[in-house]
Amino acid sequence: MHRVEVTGTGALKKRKHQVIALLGNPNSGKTSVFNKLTGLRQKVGNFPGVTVDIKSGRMELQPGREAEVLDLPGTYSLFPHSKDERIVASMLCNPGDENFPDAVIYVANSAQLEKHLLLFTQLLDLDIPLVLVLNMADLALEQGIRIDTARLGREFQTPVVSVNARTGEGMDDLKAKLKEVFSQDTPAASAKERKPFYRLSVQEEKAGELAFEKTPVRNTYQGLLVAHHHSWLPWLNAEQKYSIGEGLHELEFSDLKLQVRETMQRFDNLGPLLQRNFVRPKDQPLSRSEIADRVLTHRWWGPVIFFGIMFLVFQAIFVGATYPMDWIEQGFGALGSWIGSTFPDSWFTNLLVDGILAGLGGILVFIPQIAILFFLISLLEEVGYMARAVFLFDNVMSRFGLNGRSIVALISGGACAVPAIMSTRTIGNWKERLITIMVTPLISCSARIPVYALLIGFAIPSVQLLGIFNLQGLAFMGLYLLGIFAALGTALIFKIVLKSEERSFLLLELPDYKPPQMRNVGLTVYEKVKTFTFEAGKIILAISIVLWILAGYGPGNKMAEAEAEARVVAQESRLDEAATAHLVASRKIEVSYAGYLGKFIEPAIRPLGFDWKIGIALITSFAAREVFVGTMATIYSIGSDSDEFAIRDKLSQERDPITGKPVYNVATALSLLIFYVFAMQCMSTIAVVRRETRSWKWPLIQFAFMSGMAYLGSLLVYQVVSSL
Amino acid sequence: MRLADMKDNEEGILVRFEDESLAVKLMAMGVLPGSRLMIIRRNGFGKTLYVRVDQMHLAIRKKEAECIELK
Repeated sequence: MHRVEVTGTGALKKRKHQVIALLGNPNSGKTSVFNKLTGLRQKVGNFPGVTVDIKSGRMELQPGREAEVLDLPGTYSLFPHSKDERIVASMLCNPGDENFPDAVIYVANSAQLEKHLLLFTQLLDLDIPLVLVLNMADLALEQGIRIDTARLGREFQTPVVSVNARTGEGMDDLKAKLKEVFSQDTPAASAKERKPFYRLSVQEEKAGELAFEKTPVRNTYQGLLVAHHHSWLPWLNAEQKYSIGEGLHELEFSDLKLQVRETMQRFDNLGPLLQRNFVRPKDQPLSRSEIADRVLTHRWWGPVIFFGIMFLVFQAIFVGATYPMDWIEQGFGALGSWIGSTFPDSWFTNLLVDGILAGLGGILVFIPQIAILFFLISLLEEVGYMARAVFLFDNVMSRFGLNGRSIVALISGGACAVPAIMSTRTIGNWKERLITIMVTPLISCSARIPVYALLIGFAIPSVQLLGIFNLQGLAFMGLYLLGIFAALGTALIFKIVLKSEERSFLLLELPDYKPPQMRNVGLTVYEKVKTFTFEAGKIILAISIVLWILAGYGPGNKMAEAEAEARVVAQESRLDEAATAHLVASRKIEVSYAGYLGKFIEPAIRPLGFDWKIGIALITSFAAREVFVGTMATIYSIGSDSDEFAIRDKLSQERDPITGKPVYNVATALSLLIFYVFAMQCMSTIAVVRRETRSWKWPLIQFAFMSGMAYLGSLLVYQVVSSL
Repeated sequence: MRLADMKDNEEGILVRFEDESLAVKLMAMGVLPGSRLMIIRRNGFGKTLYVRVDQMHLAIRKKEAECIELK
């Protein structure tokens, strides 16, 4: 007991604020309550080892006294079925956890109260001060449901408030109740007088006591939970795990049987209590959602409507983001040339313009796409449609180790992998989410279009086939299909290779359709844009600066020499100002670090049909694929802003200095095309994968296998085509 | 009779589960002995089921429905 108190106060002293956790089943409207309580004063909390985002926000309890509110993942019970639920269970059975709540706001859907109180009764037995929030009061009223809130509160010995988080009705009441909970000197004291909701069997009692002795839990029920979960709880040490495991073995403790028994018992105890306080009218009309789903989840119409919606989403990203993206690019371009012409030419000005500004522009340019995609996706999520998409596509997607929701990411990946990967956050199963993240960049994104256009124009003749098909158009389509097949095939391999302790199953609530809450949509967009800008942004900026150094600097004073040489040549051949500048840029990049790197890797890329000039473009286009076109233009000294036709002409004239044959033949172009279908040539994707998986392991694996596929694919194509 | 073998739009009362780990999951969601279950729709070549459970709707796979015994 002594040890318990030391840990308890120690944890309390460490933090400045009281911690209030928001808990509830998925679809209880928990996040709406959270948004109402904290507004814009929320951030993504830092939970080590946790890959889901847990938002935390501040709310004022009393003037000058704030509490931290945690929006924990939606959970059905303390017997977890997913990684997210495990986070909740682990936190709640460890009083020493730095986020162990001082109080819990439990949010339940009033219209589904019979099914939404299991976790609540478990929390009752943990002796944590609770406030029960009956959300969606309007929905229950509409269905003719009557709830005796006051009496329910007396019977649970817990404050109960009826709330409509959509309109804010009842939120003041909730805040008042929270203040009450915290104004008592020892809030836990009142909770301790409660009689347990669930009576432990003798065996459970013993198991609970066992864990109580070995770990700093606060009561026997918490001990029982530790006993159930000892094998995976991250905060237990090996010795604790071992001794609890031994003890349980002696007790012949069978966790699954006991979990079934406990769950059953809890619902049995809830039954009469609800009968007294919760009245649902006998014959209810068929739910409107079920009627709507006759069409929306219809075997044929369902997918047709889904792809229709996705087509609109895709169009919205493509069309809607184009203008703001152009403005951002032009704005940064103008700012860059203004700085370049106003300030003296120095390394610092160069760093500012070509390193930092280019990097910032590269970050901001994604924001329109991210904002549009998340506006639409969270709208669909809010309405309740996303769960239907899972229903529609679970069968197809699960064959590839993916989730019904993955299809949204894969389709959005056709516009840009960055927001697509961020959208996987709603996939609950970690393995399915990871596979989706890993394969999405293989779907051809819009940044590949300029590269495809340049190279297809070079390699494929523009002829009509059968009078209707254009060969170039067919090639374009072929590349897209190749990307899709590569994504699905890779997913299949990951499905087999990746070990997962989570069993694959589908148990998904299909919530009633409801009008979206724009406040929640707005906050999601804001949060996504913010995380991307600040978390993925810093990596993008860092890589951008490294690339600037590689392309802008060379060993010794080689660059200065190259420039002087180029100017002499230019003068001799009477080049005009623009042509001189192009020639200088071309000569300089040859002797830059990137140039040397290009020459260094030439032996490796020779078998793919690439020379060192393409090597340079491969390196610089790591920033973003479309940079390839600009770099090729610079190398061939035609100005990086010239169009693809100019570059194409230049490329076809290039001869091998030794053999005199064209360097860029059809085989090279095809090989390059294949390379760009597969290669992870995008620092922003790497940054965002690192952010979403919270480790460097997965982006590096992804980079390795995509580069590997690109290399082998190009090798095969070049060798086969050039031998024909 | 197993839920998976029921005809569409035919209601049954849940008696027991054949799989304990699935039972814990389903019960936590409020699918309990005594619940009224009915398959509303089958998609994905009959592999994905749209099920009404009392006043709630669930998407589950045929595999899961094979572990649910009804009367």
